[in-house]
Amino acid sequence: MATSCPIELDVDQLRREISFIYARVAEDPTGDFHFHRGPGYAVSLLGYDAAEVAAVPAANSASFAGVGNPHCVAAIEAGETVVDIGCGAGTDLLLAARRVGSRGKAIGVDMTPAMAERARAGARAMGFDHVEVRVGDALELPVESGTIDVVISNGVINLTPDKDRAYAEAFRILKPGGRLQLADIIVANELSEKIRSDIDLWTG
Amino acid sequence: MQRAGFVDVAIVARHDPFRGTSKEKTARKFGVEGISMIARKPG
Repeated sequence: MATSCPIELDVDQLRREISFIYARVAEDPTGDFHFHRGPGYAVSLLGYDAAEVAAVPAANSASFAGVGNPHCVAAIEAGETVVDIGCGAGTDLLLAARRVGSRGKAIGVDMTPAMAERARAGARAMGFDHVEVRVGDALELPVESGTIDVVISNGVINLTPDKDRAYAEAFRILKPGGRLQLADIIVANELSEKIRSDIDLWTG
Repeated sequence: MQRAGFVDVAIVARHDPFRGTSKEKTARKFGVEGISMIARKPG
Protein backbone atom coordinates (compact mmCIF):
# COMPACT_ATOMS: atom_id res chain seq x y z
CA MET A 1 0.00 0.00 0.00
CA ALA A 2 1.36 3.39 -0.92
CA THR A 3 1.83 5.77 1.95
CA SER A 4 3.45 9.15 2.13
CA CYS A 5 5.70 10.39 4.88
CA PRO A 6 7.03 13.90 5.52
CA ILE A 7 10.54 12.64 6.38
CA GLU A 8 13.00 10.12 5.03
CA LEU A 9 11.76 6.89 6.58
CA ASP A 10 11.44 3.32 5.40
CA VAL A 11 7.67 2.99 5.86
CA ASP A 12 7.65 -0.72 5.10
CA GLN A 13 10.39 -1.35 7.66
CA LEU A 14 8.45 0.70 10.21
CA ARG A 15 5.34 -1.38 9.51
CA ARG A 16 7.31 -4.62 9.96
CA GLU A 17 8.88 -3.43 13.22
CA ILE A 18 5.52 -2.38 14.65
CA SER A 19 3.91 -5.69 13.67
CA PHE A 20 6.82 -7.62 15.19
CA ILE A 21 6.81 -5.76 18.50
CA TYR A 22 3.04 -5.86 19.00
CA ALA A 23 2.82 -9.52 17.99
CA ARG A 24 5.34 -10.14 20.80
CA VAL A 25 3.15 -8.13 23.17
CA ALA A 26 0.17 -10.31 22.20
CA GLU A 27 2.08 -13.55 22.62
CA ASP A 28 4.08 -12.72 25.74
CA PRO A 29 3.01 -9.49 27.47
CA THR A 30 5.34 -10.25 30.39
CA GLY A 31 8.35 -10.02 28.06
CA ASP A 32 10.99 -7.31 28.14
CA PHE A 33 9.53 -4.10 26.69
CA HIS A 34 10.31 -0.48 27.44
CA PHE A 35 6.66 0.50 27.80
CA HIS A 36 4.09 -0.47 30.41
CA ARG A 37 1.47 -3.13 29.80
CA GLY A 38 -1.44 -4.58 31.65
CA PRO A 39 -4.55 -3.74 33.66
CA GLY A 40 -2.71 -2.39 36.71
CA TYR A 41 -0.98 0.19 34.55
CA ALA A 42 -4.27 1.16 32.90
CA VAL A 43 -5.87 1.83 36.29
CA SER A 44 -2.96 3.39 38.16
CA LEU A 45 -1.44 5.65 35.51
CA LEU A 46 -4.23 6.22 32.99
CA GLY A 47 -7.33 6.46 35.17
CA TYR A 48 -9.28 3.46 33.87
CA ASP A 49 -12.14 2.22 36.04
CA ALA A 50 -10.79 -0.76 37.98
CA ALA A 51 -14.08 -2.69 37.99
CA GLU A 52 -14.59 -2.24 34.25
CA VAL A 53 -11.05 -3.36 33.46
CA ALA A 54 -11.44 -6.35 35.77
CA ALA A 55 -14.34 -7.54 33.61
CA VAL A 56 -12.02 -7.84 30.60
CA PRO A 57 -10.40 -11.29 30.29
CA ALA A 58 -6.84 -11.28 31.63
CA ALA A 59 -5.58 -12.69 28.33
CA ASN A 60 -6.66 -9.42 26.74
CA SER A 61 -5.93 -6.84 29.41
CA ALA A 62 -2.43 -8.25 30.01
CA SER A 63 -1.45 -6.99 26.54
CA PHE A 64 -2.94 -3.53 27.03
CA ALA A 65 -0.29 -0.99 25.99
CA GLY A 66 -2.22 2.27 25.60
CA VAL A 67 -0.86 5.70 26.47
CA GLY A 68 -4.05 7.44 27.56
CA ASN A 69 -7.74 6.83 28.13
CA PRO A 70 -10.24 7.42 25.28
CA HIS A 71 -13.12 6.49 27.61
CA CYS A 72 -12.46 9.39 29.98
CA VAL A 73 -13.14 12.16 27.46
CA ALA A 74 -16.83 11.45 26.77
CA ALA A 75 -19.33 8.72 27.52
CA ILE A 76 -19.89 6.05 24.88
CA GLU A 77 -23.64 5.48 24.81
CA ALA A 78 -25.80 2.38 24.43
CA GLY A 79 -26.66 1.67 20.81
CA GLU A 80 -23.71 3.53 19.31
CA THR A 81 -21.37 2.07 16.71
CA VAL A 82 -17.71 2.36 17.67
CA VAL A 83 -14.51 1.73 15.76
CA ASP A 84 -11.25 1.17 17.65
CA ILE A 85 -8.29 2.00 15.37
CA GLY A 86 -5.40 -0.28 16.32
CA CYS A 87 -7.45 -2.26 18.80
CA GLY A 88 -4.56 -4.49 19.79
CA ALA A 89 -5.58 -7.31 22.10
CA GLY A 90 -8.89 -5.56 22.62
CA THR A 91 -9.10 -3.96 26.06
CA ASP A 92 -10.52 -0.63 24.81
CA LEU A 93 -12.64 -2.42 22.21
CA LEU A 94 -14.22 -4.71 24.81
CA LEU A 95 -14.84 -1.81 27.20
CA ALA A 96 -16.57 0.04 24.35
CA ALA A 97 -18.56 -3.08 23.43
CA ARG A 98 -19.81 -3.33 26.99
CA ARG A 99 -20.98 0.28 26.89
CA VAL A 100 -22.75 0.16 23.52
CA GLY A 101 -24.49 -3.08 24.44
CA SER A 102 -26.15 -5.53 22.10
CA ARG A 103 -28.06 -2.75 20.27
CA GLY A 104 -24.75 -1.20 19.27
CA LYS A 105 -21.66 -2.49 17.57
CA ALA A 106 -17.92 -2.40 18.29
CA ILE A 107 -15.51 -2.86 15.40
CA GLY A 108 -11.80 -3.31 16.03
CA VAL A 109 -9.18 -2.73 13.36
CA ASP A 110 -5.61 -3.92 13.84
CA MET A 111 -2.72 -4.55 11.45
CA THR A 112 -1.35 -7.42 13.56
CA PRO A 113 -3.24 -10.70 12.95
CA ALA A 114 -2.14 -12.09 16.34
CA MET A 115 -3.64 -9.09 18.12
CA ALA A 116 -6.84 -9.26 16.07
CA GLU A 117 -7.29 -12.93 16.95
CA ARG A 118 -6.68 -12.19 20.63
CA ALA A 119 -9.36 -9.49 20.54
CA ARG A 120 -11.84 -11.87 18.84
CA ALA A 121 -11.19 -14.49 21.52
CA GLY A 122 -11.85 -11.88 24.21
CA ALA A 123 -15.17 -10.97 22.63
CA ARG A 124 -16.16 -14.63 22.55
CA ALA A 125 -15.12 -15.06 26.19
CA MET A 126 -17.32 -12.10 27.18
CA GLY A 127 -20.25 -13.43 25.16
CA PHE A 128 -20.28 -10.44 22.81
CA ASP A 129 -21.72 -11.12 19.39
CA HIS A 130 -21.80 -7.41 18.51
CA VAL A 131 -17.99 -7.23 18.21
CA GLU A 132 -16.16 -7.60 14.92
CA VAL A 133 -12.40 -7.42 14.44
CA ARG A 134 -10.90 -6.65 11.03
CA VAL A 135 -7.25 -6.82 10.01
CA GLY A 136 -6.39 -3.50 8.46
CA ASP A 137 -4.42 -0.31 8.56
CA ALA A 138 -5.12 3.08 10.13
CA LEU A 139 -4.26 4.69 6.81
CA GLU A 140 -6.84 2.69 4.86
CA LEU A 141 -9.57 1.69 7.28
CA PRO A 142 -11.74 -1.25 6.16
CA VAL A 143 -14.88 0.62 7.20
CA GLU A 144 -17.64 2.20 5.13
CA SER A 145 -17.75 6.00 5.00
CA GLY A 146 -20.14 7.90 7.28
CA THR A 147 -21.33 4.92 9.32
CA ILE A 148 -19.65 5.33 12.73
CA ASP A 149 -20.76 7.26 15.83
CA VAL A 150 -17.47 7.14 17.75
CA VAL A 151 -13.89 6.44 16.70
CA ILE A 152 -11.51 5.58 19.51
CA SER A 153 -7.79 4.93 19.36
CA ASN A 154 -5.08 4.58 21.96
CA GLY A 155 -1.39 4.98 21.24
CA VAL A 156 -1.65 4.14 17.55
CA ILE A 157 -1.75 7.31 15.44
CA ASN A 158 1.73 8.26 16.69
CA LEU A 159 3.01 5.06 15.06
CA THR A 160 1.65 5.96 11.63
CA PRO A 161 3.99 7.70 9.18
CA ASP A 162 1.20 9.92 7.81
CA LYS A 163 -0.89 11.47 10.58
CA ASP A 164 -2.89 13.66 8.19
CA ARG A 165 -4.09 10.60 6.33
CA ALA A 166 -4.90 8.75 9.57
CA TYR A 167 -7.06 11.66 10.76
CA ALA A 168 -8.67 11.92 7.31
CA GLU A 169 -9.60 8.25 7.50
CA ALA A 170 -11.15 8.66 10.97
CA PHE A 171 -13.07 11.67 9.64
CA ARG A 172 -14.25 9.72 6.59
CA ILE A 173 -15.84 6.86 8.52
CA LEU A 174 -17.60 9.05 11.11
CA LYS A 175 -21.21 10.09 10.71
CA PRO A 176 -21.87 13.85 10.73
CA GLY A 177 -21.70 14.85 14.40
CA GLY A 178 -19.61 11.79 15.24
CA ARG A 179 -16.79 11.91 17.79
CA LEU A 180 -13.12 11.05 17.72
CA GLN A 181 -12.01 10.05 21.23
CA LEU A 182 -8.27 9.80 20.92
CA ALA A 183 -5.47 8.90 23.31
CA ASP A 184 -1.94 9.28 22.06
CA ILE A 185 1.45 10.75 22.80
CA ILE A 186 2.57 14.21 21.85
CA VAL A 187 6.06 15.65 21.75
CA ALA A 188 6.56 19.17 23.09
CA ASN A 189 10.08 19.68 21.76
CA GLU A 190 11.13 20.06 18.14
CA LEU A 191 12.93 16.88 17.05
CA SER A 192 15.80 16.70 14.62
CA GLU A 193 15.34 14.83 11.34
CA LYS A 194 17.85 12.22 12.59
CA ILE A 195 15.71 11.49 15.64
CA ARG A 196 12.48 11.48 13.60
CA SER A 197 14.03 8.94 11.22
CA ASP A 198 15.05 6.55 14.03
CA ILE A 199 12.64 3.61 13.83
CA ASP A 200 13.65 2.41 17.31
CA LEU A 201 12.31 5.66 18.74
CA TRP A 202 9.10 5.42 16.67
CA THR A 203 8.35 1.95 17.98
CA GLY A 204 9.42 2.75 21.54
CA MET B 1 -6.98 17.09 13.04
CA GLN B 2 -8.42 20.43 12.03
CA ARG B 3 -6.91 20.00 8.54
CA ALA B 4 -8.94 16.79 8.30
CA GLY B 5 -12.10 18.76 9.08
CA PHE B 6 -12.55 18.08 12.79
CA VAL B 7 -13.95 20.81 15.03
CA ASP B 8 -14.19 21.31 18.80
CA VAL B 9 -10.76 19.72 19.24
CA ALA B 10 -9.82 19.64 22.93
CA ILE B 11 -7.33 17.90 25.17
CA VAL B 12 -9.27 16.53 28.13
CA ALA B 13 -6.59 14.74 30.17
CA ARG B 14 -2.82 14.42 30.31
CA HIS B 15 -0.94 11.29 31.34
CA ASP B 16 2.59 10.13 32.14
CA PRO B 17 2.72 6.71 30.42
CA PHE B 18 6.50 6.40 30.53
CA ARG B 19 6.80 6.96 34.28
CA GLY B 20 8.89 4.14 35.76
CA THR B 21 9.96 2.70 32.40
CA SER B 22 13.47 2.46 31.00
CA LYS B 23 12.51 5.22 28.53
CA GLU B 24 11.34 7.72 31.17
CA LYS B 25 14.49 9.82 30.87
CA THR B 26 14.22 9.93 27.05
CA ALA B 27 10.54 10.87 27.28
CA ARG B 28 11.36 13.74 29.65
CA LYS B 29 14.19 14.93 27.40
CA PHE B 30 11.91 15.19 24.37
CA GLY B 31 8.84 16.45 26.25
CA VAL B 32 6.77 13.34 25.51
CA GLU B 33 3.46 12.96 27.30
CA GLY B 34 0.22 11.05 26.89
CA ILE B 35 -2.99 12.90 26.16
CA SER B 36 -6.66 12.02 25.88
CA MET B 37 -8.62 14.27 23.58
CA ILE B 38 -11.90 14.70 21.77
CA ALA B 39 -12.85 16.11 18.39
CA ARG B 40 -16.10 16.21 16.45
CA LYS B 41 -17.08 15.85 12.81
CA PRO B 42 -19.39 18.74 11.93
CA GLY B 43 -22.94 17.65 11.38
